[in-house]
Amino acid sequence: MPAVQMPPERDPFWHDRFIPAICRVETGNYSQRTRELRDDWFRRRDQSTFLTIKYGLIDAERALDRISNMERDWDSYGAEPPSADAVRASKEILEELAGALILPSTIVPSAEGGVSIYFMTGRRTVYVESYNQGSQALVMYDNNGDAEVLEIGREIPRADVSGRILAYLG
Amino acid sequence: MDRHYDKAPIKEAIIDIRIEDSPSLTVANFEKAEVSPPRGYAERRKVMIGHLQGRLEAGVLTATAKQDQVGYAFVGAEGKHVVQFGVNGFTFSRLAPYQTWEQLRNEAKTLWESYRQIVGALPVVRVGLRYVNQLDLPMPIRDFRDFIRFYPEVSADLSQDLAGFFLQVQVPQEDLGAMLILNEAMVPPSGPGVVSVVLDIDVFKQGLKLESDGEVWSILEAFRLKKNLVFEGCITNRTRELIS
Repeated sequence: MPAVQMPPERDPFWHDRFIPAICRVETGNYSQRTRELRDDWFRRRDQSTFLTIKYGLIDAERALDRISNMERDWDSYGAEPPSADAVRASKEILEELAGALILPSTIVPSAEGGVSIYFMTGRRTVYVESYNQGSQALVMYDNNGDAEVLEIGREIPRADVSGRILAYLG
Repeated sequence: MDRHYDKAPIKEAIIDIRIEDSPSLTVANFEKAEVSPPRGYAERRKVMIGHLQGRLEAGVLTATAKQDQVGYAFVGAEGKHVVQFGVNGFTFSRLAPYQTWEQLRNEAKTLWESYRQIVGALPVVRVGLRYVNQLDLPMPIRDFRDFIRFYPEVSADLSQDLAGFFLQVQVPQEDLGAMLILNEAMVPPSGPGVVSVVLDIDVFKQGLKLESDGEVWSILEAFRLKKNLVFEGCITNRTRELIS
């Protein structure tokens, strides 16, 4: 049975003499400080409604730009890419909703030709679909399969869309 | 120093008050209390906090993400007021256009009373006042020093063209026993022909155990004066002209 070996006695100042140069600046602590700074910035961004909406809208518009460059048959089932009009209409909706402090969960191209902007909570989902031919629909459904579809402009005024989304998502 | 600017660049003013952790206070308490919107606040939203955890096992990196609800947010005053009632504290935001300190404080006080009714008499452990300003500086900018007095100084030996920057300083405020965290960053411009710079002033005090709410508001009054000094200390007369 191997004997337990005591660790060699260390110079009590060894740690302080070398750690500042090796770790605090260049390695472990530098990375840790970087992480702390990043986490702190995320916390600050999350605390601020203004910054959350500002950066959320930037992210959403980037997502929209990405899908606006899709090519025909992007889903391998012959789907059309989103048209410039559908992208523009989606941008307007995004800006209106950001004004009401609502950010999307995700933005995807629609297989029917257009753009879908999704808003989701645990049990309920809402999406605003802007079709290539110019119409827009508000679709709401839940985990029980209950769904409602409203044509924006005909069955629900555009100005009421954000309020309806919030009311539905709770 | 209490100077009023007609075009104040304040995009958001935030009063943040944290309370002592209590195992007996959970989101369920808020639900039991059937937290309803304070007067004038119509919408209720859940406040979620995200956790992302990475794990490296046998050379395979997996990540899991989950969200926990930590409270409720209410939106009022046509989307200009947002108040969060959380299990660990209270945050009130006033979005642009900013009105006055008195309006901000009075609204926050009223909402704080509603929050107190739910959480009880738990002591306050942190008090913070934060102002997020966005300065829209007209292009072309020859030198940031024409507009701001807190800026990244780039060596004269290097190109002076800046595509972006982010600065943070943490400055103890010994007179208040508090900390100032000043963040400044170039952000996407708010319109054509301008460079937008966010000047984010956060004065806070933590490690407290305040039993009296009166002390909380006294601290915030002192923070407000400090915040004004810091803002004035960060801008030049040219910026004062821009926002007057």
